[in-house]
Amino acid sequence: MSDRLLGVVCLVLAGWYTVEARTFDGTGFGSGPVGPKTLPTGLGVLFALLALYLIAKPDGEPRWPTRQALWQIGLVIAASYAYGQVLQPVGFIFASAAIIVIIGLLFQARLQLLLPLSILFPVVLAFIFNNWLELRLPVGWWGGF
Amino acid sequence: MKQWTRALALLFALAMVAAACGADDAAENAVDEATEAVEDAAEDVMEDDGEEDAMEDDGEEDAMEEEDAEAEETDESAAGYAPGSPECVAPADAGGGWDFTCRSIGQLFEDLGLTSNVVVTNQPGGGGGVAFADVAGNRADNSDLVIAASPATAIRFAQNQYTGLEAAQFRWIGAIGADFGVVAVPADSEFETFEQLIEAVQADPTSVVFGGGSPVGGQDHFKVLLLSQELGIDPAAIPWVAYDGGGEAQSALLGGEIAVATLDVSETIGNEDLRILTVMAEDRVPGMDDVPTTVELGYETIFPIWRGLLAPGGMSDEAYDFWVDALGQVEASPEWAAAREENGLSPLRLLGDDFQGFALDAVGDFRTLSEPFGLVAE
Amino acid sequence: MLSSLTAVSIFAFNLLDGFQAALTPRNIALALVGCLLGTLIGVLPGIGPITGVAILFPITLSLGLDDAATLILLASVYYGSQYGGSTTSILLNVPGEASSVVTTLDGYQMARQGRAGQALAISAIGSFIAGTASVIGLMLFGPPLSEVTTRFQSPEKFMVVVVAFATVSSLAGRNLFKGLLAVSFGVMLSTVGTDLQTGVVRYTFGELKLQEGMDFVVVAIGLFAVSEVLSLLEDTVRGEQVVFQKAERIWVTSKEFLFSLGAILRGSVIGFFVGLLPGTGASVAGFMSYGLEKRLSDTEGTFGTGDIRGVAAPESANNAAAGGSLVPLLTLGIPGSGTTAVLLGILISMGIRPGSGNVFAETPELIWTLIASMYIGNLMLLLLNFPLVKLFVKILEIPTWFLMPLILVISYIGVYSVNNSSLDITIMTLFGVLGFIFRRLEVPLAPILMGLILGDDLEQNFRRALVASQGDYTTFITGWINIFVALLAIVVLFLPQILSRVRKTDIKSEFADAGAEV
Repeated sequence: MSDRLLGVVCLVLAGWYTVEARTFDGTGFGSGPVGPKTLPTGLGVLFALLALYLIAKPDGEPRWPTRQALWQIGLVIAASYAYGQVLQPVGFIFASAAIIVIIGLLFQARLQLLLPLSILFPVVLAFIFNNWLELRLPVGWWGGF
Repeated sequence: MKQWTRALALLFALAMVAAACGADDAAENAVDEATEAVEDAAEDVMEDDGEEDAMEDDGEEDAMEEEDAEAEETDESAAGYAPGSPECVAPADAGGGWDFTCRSIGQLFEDLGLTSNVVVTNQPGGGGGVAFADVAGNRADNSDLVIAASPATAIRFAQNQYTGLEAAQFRWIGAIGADFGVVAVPADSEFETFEQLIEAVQADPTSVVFGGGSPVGGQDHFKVLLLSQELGIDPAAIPWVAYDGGGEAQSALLGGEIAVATLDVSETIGNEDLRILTVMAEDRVPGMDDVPTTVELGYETIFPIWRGLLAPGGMSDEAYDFWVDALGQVEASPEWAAAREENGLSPLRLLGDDFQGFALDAVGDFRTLSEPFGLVAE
Repeated sequence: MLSSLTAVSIFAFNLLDGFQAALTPRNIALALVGCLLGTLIGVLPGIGPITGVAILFPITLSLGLDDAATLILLASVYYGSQYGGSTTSILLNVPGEASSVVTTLDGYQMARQGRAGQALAISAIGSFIAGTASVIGLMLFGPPLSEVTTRFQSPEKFMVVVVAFATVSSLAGRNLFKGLLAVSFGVMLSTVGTDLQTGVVRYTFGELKLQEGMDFVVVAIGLFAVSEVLSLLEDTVRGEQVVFQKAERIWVTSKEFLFSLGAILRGSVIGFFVGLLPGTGASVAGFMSYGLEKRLSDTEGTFGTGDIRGVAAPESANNAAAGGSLVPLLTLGIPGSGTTAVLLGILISMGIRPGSGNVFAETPELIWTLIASMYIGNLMLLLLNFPLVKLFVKILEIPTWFLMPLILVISYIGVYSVNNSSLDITIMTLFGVLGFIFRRLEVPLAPILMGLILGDDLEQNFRRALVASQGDYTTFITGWINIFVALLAIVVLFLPQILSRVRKTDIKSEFADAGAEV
């Protein structure tokens, strides 16, 4: 069933990919004997065929995460997305500290150990990056180095 | 259980050592900064008299463009702007031309005592578009920031590839040093002169395969576009093979996959496996003294690949003047002359409003050329 | 014969001169610093050798070092960061760059079985041997081999990429069709961005960031590292304690070394020759050597479950490819990769213009100093490996509750600091979810990356060849190189069948629980 579902999703993707490919036209210079739409079109068809095979001959059912695990995984994903969104304004150090605490707790950390580490580690990393490697991480609320 | 604590301790010990070393650097930097500030002030005092007159016209023009309030504010502290945390954005990965511009000029800003440590930020994507969009959108009034640019930047502005951004939204600081386009064939090619090549192309444009390190409508292909426009040949008829950079194009040229490659002086200088038919410049280029230029051959087309800096549109006038002046000082320094020569660049000094006008004209010209071929987006 | 012997002895003397110029106490100290710094840089995903060298070059200039010292420092940084990249692939399943993707397959499995030390050690040993082999190759055949570089044009390169794709089933896992699905998906990802031939923008959703294509690092870290964290989280919820088995040894035994020697030598040869091809070289080398090694010697079905040869082969190939790419650089002045482009800039700044005649004959001192420097960097890394492996293996003893957030934060930095883009973090997260689902469904992840890395080479070389030949399809089967490479592709495809005929033994299926122990 899961494989069939994957097959259907891939089939939809293949369809969209192929239709989209038909819109790629060269500029006023033409596009040579084989243009920008050729490979995507062929690839879309191949992908669709593979998807059909998957629908026809699915493997056995995998072991999916339990509901509780799904919640936690969803939390990590949400946190990860949020991290990207707040990194600029909040800055590397506090954003990282927050995500270390969240992920650490999910992996059953003890808070009294986790808290100091969660702030110390990003501070050290940020220091190395901003002063040593000349790669600037966003400073945000920390205020500067 | 004890083991990992030890490991962690070790990790942090390492990090702390690192941090301590870094702190030393920071301290040194602070001292440097202080000395630099003093030196800057002294320099400014000495230079002020001489430059005052020359600056006046510019100041008036700018004041009309900028908001009055801002202009007043800048006048008060006109003794000298000093960027607090200077940054040069290379709108590409490390290792490319824009990255070189930022790193070499940035290092000289620092070495000549013009600024404190210049941080180079690589912001690749969209042929530079990501960096320009970020600067225009989020840091438009940052006066400490400059961006590396070249004709490729102007071409992309001309073709509207930086969606929603216009060249005039930025302040063009200046260009120092220029590379030039070349037309190259293998050393054993049937084409011994540029004329022979032109004859062959005019007889049958499809017979000679050209190639270079950019797609159709990109920097290397524009050299073909400009030449064919002047010669009255339909550029769409000339086969163009695009490679991922000049290196691969050279390899294809030597292997005979393409007959002609349009490259840069810096990529081909001193390479005895190649024959350079012409340099797309007015005057002969050092290191290629025996190669005739397009102008010498009676054509108008030249293709300078200038290395320059531009700045966010909201940069204050005094900051703009500071950067123009600093770039001018870099240009005049023997250190830059050496770095320029090493990299096969010819001298060029185009600063401030002169450069702004030049660049905006170039964007207009590129747009006129691109439009008939559908290369201009939307 | 005599003349070639003389040539060899002249080269050997020159190399000795090179070593003499390079081996001063200060330079050895610089090599040490460079290797350590490089390893530190390389451990951070996304910041690979190219960035490391490009960032450090202006700094060495302002330090006022002489040419030999500069070359040694940068060569050490280069090797150090390559080694650092392998380290994270093995320990944390985070491939920092294209060349270390395949290393994760067996390297990370070894780490989970408590054999991280052996994996790291064989990576350093293999690299060292490959480095030695490529120096010898460069000495003996450097100038004549430049011919190979120019003979391999777009049609030939296209065929080489086809050979690499022919090894995909070695990465495919249990269900070949899912492997094909994965590799097609990877090629689909590679079509995102500006088309190199026409400048047409494809599949970018109007996002400027995507015009330069899907960033390999972002996809790789998402698929491998983020999805690994999610999987381990699920194990934790289920109550299975996630423990990396404790390392009992941290160095390889002579038995393990001899067991992987064949893989190392084959990897070195493949890597060196593939490295000769500008543009295609470095990324293909790892995939090709792993694929061939698996097809050649995986009779027990242990590849992918922590087979030491699965680490030895690609690691050697990567290093040899770096050596091979010096041939077109030094003889033709053609930089075949980002790293050699930076190196070219460095050489030019020292007054050497490769490509202008025979640099080996005309400016021998600096060229041999360069080669000696790379060799010293390589050797220094091997020596450093003894203490470093001990330190790195300790990383795995960090408890999961801190190691997992640590992996994530390091991944974020790696992804962010390369492009300074928050969007990349979102894309990485997305691929993390995708990777997690694919793991459940047994869709293999490595072929996706293979498709992403090589898809562009496949399409662009195909189209280049056709534009250059003005639409003549026979360009792909003209010339003995193409025919040879085409035959090679067929041999690669059917190698297991051929071998099993020869050996007259059946290849055991992947279920063979022959254990990964040697």
